[in-house]
Amino acid sequence: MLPSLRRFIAIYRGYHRPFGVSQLLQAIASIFTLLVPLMLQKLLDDGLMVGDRDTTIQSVIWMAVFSCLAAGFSIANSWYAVQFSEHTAHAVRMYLYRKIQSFSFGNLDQFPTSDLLVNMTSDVNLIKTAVQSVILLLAQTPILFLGSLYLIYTNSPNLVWIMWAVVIVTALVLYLALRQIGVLFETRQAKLDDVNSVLQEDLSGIRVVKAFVQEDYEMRRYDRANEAFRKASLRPMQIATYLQPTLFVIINLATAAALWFGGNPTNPNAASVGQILAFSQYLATVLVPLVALAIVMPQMSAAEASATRMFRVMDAVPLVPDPDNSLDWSVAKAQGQIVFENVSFQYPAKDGQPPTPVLKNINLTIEPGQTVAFLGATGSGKSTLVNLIPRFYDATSGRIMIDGIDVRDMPLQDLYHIVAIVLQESVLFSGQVRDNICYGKPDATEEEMIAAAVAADAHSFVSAIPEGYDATVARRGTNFSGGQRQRLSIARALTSEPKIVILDDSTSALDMETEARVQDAIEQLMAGATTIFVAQRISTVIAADQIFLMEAGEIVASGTHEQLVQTSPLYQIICESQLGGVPA
Amino acid sequence: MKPFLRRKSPSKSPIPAEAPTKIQTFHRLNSYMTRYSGKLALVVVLLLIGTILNLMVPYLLGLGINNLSGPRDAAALGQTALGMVAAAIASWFLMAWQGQVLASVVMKGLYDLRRQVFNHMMPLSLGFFDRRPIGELISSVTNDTEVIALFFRSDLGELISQGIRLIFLVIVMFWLDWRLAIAALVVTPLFTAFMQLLSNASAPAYQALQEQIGEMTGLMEETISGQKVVIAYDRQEEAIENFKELSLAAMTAGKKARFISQLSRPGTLVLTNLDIALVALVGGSLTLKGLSDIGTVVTFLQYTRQLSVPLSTFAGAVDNLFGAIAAGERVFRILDEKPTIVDRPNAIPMPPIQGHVEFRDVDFSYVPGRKILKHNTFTALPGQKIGLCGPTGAGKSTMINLITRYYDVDSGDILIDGHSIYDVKQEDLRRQIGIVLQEPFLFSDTVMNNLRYARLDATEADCMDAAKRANAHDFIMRLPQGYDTLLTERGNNLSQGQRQLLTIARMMVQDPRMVILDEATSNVDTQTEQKIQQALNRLMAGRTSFVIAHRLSTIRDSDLILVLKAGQIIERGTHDEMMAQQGFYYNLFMSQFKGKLAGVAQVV
Repeated sequence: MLPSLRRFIAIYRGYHRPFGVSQLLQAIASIFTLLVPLMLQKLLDDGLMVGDRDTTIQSVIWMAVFSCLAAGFSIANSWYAVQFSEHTAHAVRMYLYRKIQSFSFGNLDQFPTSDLLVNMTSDVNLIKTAVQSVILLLAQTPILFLGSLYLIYTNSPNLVWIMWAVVIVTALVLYLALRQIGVLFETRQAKLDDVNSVLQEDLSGIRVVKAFVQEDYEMRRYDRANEAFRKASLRPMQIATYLQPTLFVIINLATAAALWFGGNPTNPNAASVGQILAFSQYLATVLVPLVALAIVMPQMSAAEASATRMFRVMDAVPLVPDPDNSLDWSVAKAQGQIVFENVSFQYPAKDGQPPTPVLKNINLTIEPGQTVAFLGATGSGKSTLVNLIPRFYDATSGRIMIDGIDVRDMPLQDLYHIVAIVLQESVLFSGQVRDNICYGKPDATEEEMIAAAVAADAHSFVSAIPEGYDATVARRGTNFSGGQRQRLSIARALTSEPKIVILDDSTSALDMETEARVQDAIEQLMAGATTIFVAQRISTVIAADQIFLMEAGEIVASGTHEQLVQTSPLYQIICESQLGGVPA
Repeated sequence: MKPFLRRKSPSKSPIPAEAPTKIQTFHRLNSYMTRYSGKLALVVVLLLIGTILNLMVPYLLGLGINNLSGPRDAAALGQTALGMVAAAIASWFLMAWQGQVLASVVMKGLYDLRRQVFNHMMPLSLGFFDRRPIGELISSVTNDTEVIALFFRSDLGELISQGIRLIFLVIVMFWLDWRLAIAALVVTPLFTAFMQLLSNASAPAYQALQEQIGEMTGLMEETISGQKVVIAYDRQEEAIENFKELSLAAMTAGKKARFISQLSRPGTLVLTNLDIALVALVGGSLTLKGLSDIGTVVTFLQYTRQLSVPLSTFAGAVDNLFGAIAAGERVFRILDEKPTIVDRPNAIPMPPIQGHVEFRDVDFSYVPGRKILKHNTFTALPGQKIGLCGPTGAGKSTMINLITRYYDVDSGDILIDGHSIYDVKQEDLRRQIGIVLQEPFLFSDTVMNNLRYARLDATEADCMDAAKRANAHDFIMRLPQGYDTLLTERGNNLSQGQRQLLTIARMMVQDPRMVILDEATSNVDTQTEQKIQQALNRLMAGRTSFVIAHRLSTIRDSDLILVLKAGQIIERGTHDEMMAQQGFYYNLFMSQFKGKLAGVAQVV
């Protein structure tokens, strides 16, 4: 039962003392709570009924004192509960975040970003809520329940059967109601998802809706989903509205029964006034744990589900391990020669689908300082190929060598130092422009940063902004156009002065003039570095020292532009389609 | 270096100049519930009777206790007990009924509100959607309306029932014994002060918590979605450090805020119990002096215990009220939007388009002061293919928005077949113009239904025919369920090229008189590329077409090419004419080849 949560408890190792203290506090609070009705009984039976003034006043004072003590200890326990739950949340967040930071690309592929975010937010919260409930209720529940039972047995033994009736009926009512609500709630959630997806679709596709003048159709579609949701969410609500009055009526009926059966003069074991009243109060305290259980159980199963999801992330093995052997090589010696030897790659099996082969038997050599290009359509494998160079993924077979050293033997930090890659989607972080450009080399000088920006053709538009390099970059860089984001990403790559620069389709948003300028400038700034362009546009690759033409995971042709025009039919077709002709 | 992966919370969207007052918003919200006045009246009546019955139970208990404190009368006791049972059951029945009716009113009100918002949004002009992030709109329609509904159900509903209860409690207590009533009610000001204190402390604490959580979540989201960059630049340690700071801050803020709210329950209990002790003391003294009896004391003890519930409900409800009003404001901002593109009062239907398009000195800006198009004038004859090219941001997509009247010009006019588009009905105009977007958009529905979206009365045969002409039929037949295959959200189970073919097929079903094509950047394989080209050519045949090109090869054969730069048409003509001119177009075209060409004259 609850296997993931049990595993989870391991993080509390060493916290026995505070946990014990908190439960002790709650236990004491519960005991004081149980004593209050006893004082009430005393007040009535030994005080008012017999006209004893002193006892009356004493009992009242004890009632007040016990209440305050119960509240005080309860507050102390609440403090612990809050500490435990918030610390738990923090600890879990850090575990998960550190784990995510240790991931490589392959790991990230297995866990979509949205799932990871759910793990870090709502899953953490669900676990936190469960922890809080446990601390608050663990000691309280058995003590209140058993204590009330005991006191009823000893004080009003002839009314015990009423209590059992109440407990059984309440437990039954709660169980049935909650189970029903649980099921209906799931239906409600499903209908809510339906409503939301209609909304989402229509909003993202509003242009299409308007282009085909289908506003009325969409309104009808939404209405159907809205109505279905209304019905589905009414049902659990209807059951929920029964709960509170039902609990009240149970207690009231039980009190009436206590009055009759306890007070009836024909009853040989008649109860006193005080006993009857104390009994009715203990009825309430005996139900508190039942209600608490009813609240906590769904919390527990939600927390269990969250913990299971969390462990899926925690148990993932980083796919690209950092070697810890020392090499007879240092970053300063890097030249930038890249060799692929019989390299094949396939993505691992996922969700019951077989592994997808992506690269087949790649063999190539790139000399230091060359400018090469990989040309091919989506799915040809070119991005995957270049991702192997900085070990974002490891080849499934064969090996990749930089300057004669297998990349798997290189410390990751050094590898990242000499290889800079500009990814397809230009991701910028919120902060300043200068922070983004210097992301790879925080101690870059102003000159280095500007030189990189100039080469990336970013300097001109950054200088045009009033704050210049101190200008704010909004989250995801949305305050810059696609082309500007690309140029900033390129500047970022250039700042770290890598020996190998890879630009993965990173000039696609630039018009051809700008692209040409940027390519030339990179050539100048990175003289001596190996530059690799990955592209779909012939215009991007046309001037490269070597072009590798890829299709379906294989290199089908390679050479200069002139050579390919002569020898490769596929290249000719692409020229035809993109340029409108085959330039001789 | 200042850690940059942290940012301040984004500024909120601007509030219009004359914002409605909170009271006005509240009234407006109310109107969604009060329209069901009949049912609400029933709820109130049921509450009134139910509450009275409910309050009778402790009273009867008191009578019974009095019975027991003297010589016990079994018959009277029996009657009292039966009375309690009857009152309890009747009260249960009425309260449950009331709850049902209220729930159904609230859900209907929520349904009404959502429906109204959606129906109002759909016909709004495109500018409304372009100006707002989708997430914000979805949040308003979904979350904000939910907050409003929750408020009405839990808080307003509870407020009414607890309010009635409180009033009756006070009345009954005073009716029974004014001295004990005062003793019981003396705690009320204390209680109110306590709740106010808590609220004053917790509001800023929760706000601080929300901010911290917002920052932490923002950082989390940013780095995790950009994790590949973090890896590529080896910045994981820094990311962890930054996150740790924010997580700790959130934890600290959380401890404070949640501890404060934990205080409310024990605090309430203490006050209630002290009050009970006071009532017991006063009642006891009175009883001992013979001025009252045990039964009354017992009744008052029960009533006092029940006093705290209405009082704490009020405190909680006030907090939620502000949340609901804020949500209401956001929702009403949408409802108060008016479509900016409207038909003229005497708009005429657009006769079947022949395709003679004229732009006369058209100026346009999205934002006043930043002109996107300046003095655009040109003429397109029926059946011509017009190519648009130029640097990004030059205004090409804008031109499309204007022809279809998604936006209106600032000055100048656009005529089709001699009619100004501002004299005709928008619907007619749009039905006759087909648009192929850069990013093909498909619904998560079957292939057939996606095709039929163009014309709801199209037959299956029509759709299949269109698919054949669009070179889409073959791949559709290879899909698992053919035309009945369900497309996933955004059509993700098809490749990019297949989606494009499908949208072209959809266009064929529409059979428009004019075609506008915003070319997708080529990320499809060569074979599909050719199919798409062929399909597009079929689509454009015989129809006036406007093509925005990213590859000059697409528009080479246009009857007229317009070169847009900074909103102005700087060159125009056929490809051959402009190449001979050796102007901007010539440079643009040649830059594709990056000076690698010898014998370029052969190609051009």
